[in-house]
Amino acid sequence: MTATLPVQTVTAPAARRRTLKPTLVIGLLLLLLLVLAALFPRLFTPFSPTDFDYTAILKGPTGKHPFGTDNFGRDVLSRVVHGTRIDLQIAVLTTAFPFVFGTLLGAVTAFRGRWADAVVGRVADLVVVFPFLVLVIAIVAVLGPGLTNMYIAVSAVGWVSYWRLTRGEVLAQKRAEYAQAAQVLGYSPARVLLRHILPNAVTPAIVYLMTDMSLGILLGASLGYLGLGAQPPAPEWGVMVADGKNFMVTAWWISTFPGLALTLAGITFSLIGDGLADALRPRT
Amino acid sequence: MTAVQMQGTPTASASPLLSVRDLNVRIPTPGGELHAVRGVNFDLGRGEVLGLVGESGSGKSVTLRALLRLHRSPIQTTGEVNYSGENGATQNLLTLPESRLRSVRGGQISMIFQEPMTALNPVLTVGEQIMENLREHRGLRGKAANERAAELLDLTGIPSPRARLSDYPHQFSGGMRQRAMIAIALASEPKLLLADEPTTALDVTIQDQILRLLLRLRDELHMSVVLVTHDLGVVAQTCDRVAVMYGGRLMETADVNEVFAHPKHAYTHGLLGSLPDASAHRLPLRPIPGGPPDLRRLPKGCAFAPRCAYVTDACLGDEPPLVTVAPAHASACVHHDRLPDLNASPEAPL
Repeated sequence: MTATLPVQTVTAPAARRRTLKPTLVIGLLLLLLLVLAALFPRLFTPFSPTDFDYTAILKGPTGKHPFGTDNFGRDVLSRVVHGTRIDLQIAVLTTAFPFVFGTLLGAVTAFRGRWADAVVGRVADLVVVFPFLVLVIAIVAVLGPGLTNMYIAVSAVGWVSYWRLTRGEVLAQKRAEYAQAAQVLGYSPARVLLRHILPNAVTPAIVYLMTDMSLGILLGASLGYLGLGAQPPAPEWGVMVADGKNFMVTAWWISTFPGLALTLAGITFSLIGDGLADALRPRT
Repeated sequence: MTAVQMQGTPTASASPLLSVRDLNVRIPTPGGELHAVRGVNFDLGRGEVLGLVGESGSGKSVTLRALLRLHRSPIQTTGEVNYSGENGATQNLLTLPESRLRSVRGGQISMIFQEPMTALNPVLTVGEQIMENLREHRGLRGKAANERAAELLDLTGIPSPRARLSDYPHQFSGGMRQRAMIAIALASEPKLLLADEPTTALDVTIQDQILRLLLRLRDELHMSVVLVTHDLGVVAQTCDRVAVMYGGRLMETADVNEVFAHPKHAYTHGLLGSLPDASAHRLPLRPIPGGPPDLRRLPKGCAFAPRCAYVTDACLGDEPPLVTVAPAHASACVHHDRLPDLNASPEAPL
């Protein structure tokens, strides 16, 4: 055979972008709305969340006060919008430490194994035998009410879920051939764990982080409602629901709108978590 | 290029690159201790391609991994793996401190795996994975590393290498991934490449390309290669020397032509007899009856005796040692000089 084939240039296929799931897009748009409300509340309402207006007490929704006013004449819309900052802060600060600490601890104990894994495992067992809310309330009761103490209490309990998730995933991933290959290439254990194994193992923890953020907001609101979290007159949604509970029959708007805001925040994080689970799955 | 290059054939007396002495691997299991590798000895010359052949469960992959001390406790690896690196100093890899061993792993000795689908990290681009090795063992960074990574991909025959550096492994086909894995392993320009069934997961045409690639790179980079395989066709195509494993022991070692022409062990004899023969009429295959031995309950004497067509009482005494039976040819068969010609019927009595 002497015929020569025409030379063909081979081009690599363009990196195809994965189309984002609609749930993720909607979730991110809602999050953008919440972040805007937290950063620039004045965009949404002219009123201060804490100024009393004795000329407009317990007024229903009107053009001037779309969400009505409460028993001190404070604008409910303004309080809901300003509350976004506190409640988003709660979502981040109740989960940031548990996520970072639990994930790293899970990675290290699964990778090293042996006694460290056994010891941490028993401590985790000890934490989970108590109902979550009861344990948090107990810790807050000891430390005293307030947001800072609530963060401490939630952090002390919340890392266990991340530890479990990451530990299981790292245990599976460290047996994978690419992890062995990294070891065979002479990389240090820290590098094998942090650069090669952890990025492949962290997805469940990130997805859970989104769920946990909505749970964190609900927990913050619950403790606020019980008087153990944010303290009045701070416009925290849980505190506002508690404020309005005595007026449910006559002024339903005081509790209902902060409740709806809580629901919206919960849905936002759930949608993002659902979308991320798909978007972050490593391809093989 | 001929498949077997005689210039790579070692002279047994010159200091070998790798010298394995009395290698044992013991794996504790609930059903008792599994003695997976039992007193393996072999030398590997510079530039030599050694084929480690055997059935599933013969201990060939376990042996390969033991060379780099990859078995973790509670698995026990004993013996000596003496490696003579560039500076001439000989180090026993099984007793080397972990930090020094890490510079040998990857830097001096690299390994490629059977399954290219899982041996590449899915979250790092191929380029990142090559450049990581370049940075770690060659001290290359930035643009220089990028250039070299593209060169390596080109060397392994990946088209438009520069563009493919930023691709993820899932954007590569099976054969391309194996090439990428070879490029990663060879980035550090190792002296020895350990290949654990590198072509088993690939189809035959790709397999052939990859084997040719390995031989070419062996010549260009002056490497030695230990190739683990169960495929005698692969051995014939690529290896200078062959070591046949069975039941965790070496049964026979010799030059590749010698093994195929004059096997001196009943097991090798049976293996070759069980191959389909393209030149002959279509005859039924002649498999070796039975299955591999249970390494927890090995029979007394030769491990192959229960399946051997030539077994006699002499095989059932002490386990026969690996002894030199011809120049550069060692066999652990009691009846190495009484095996019939390969083409004779295996049913012929001794």
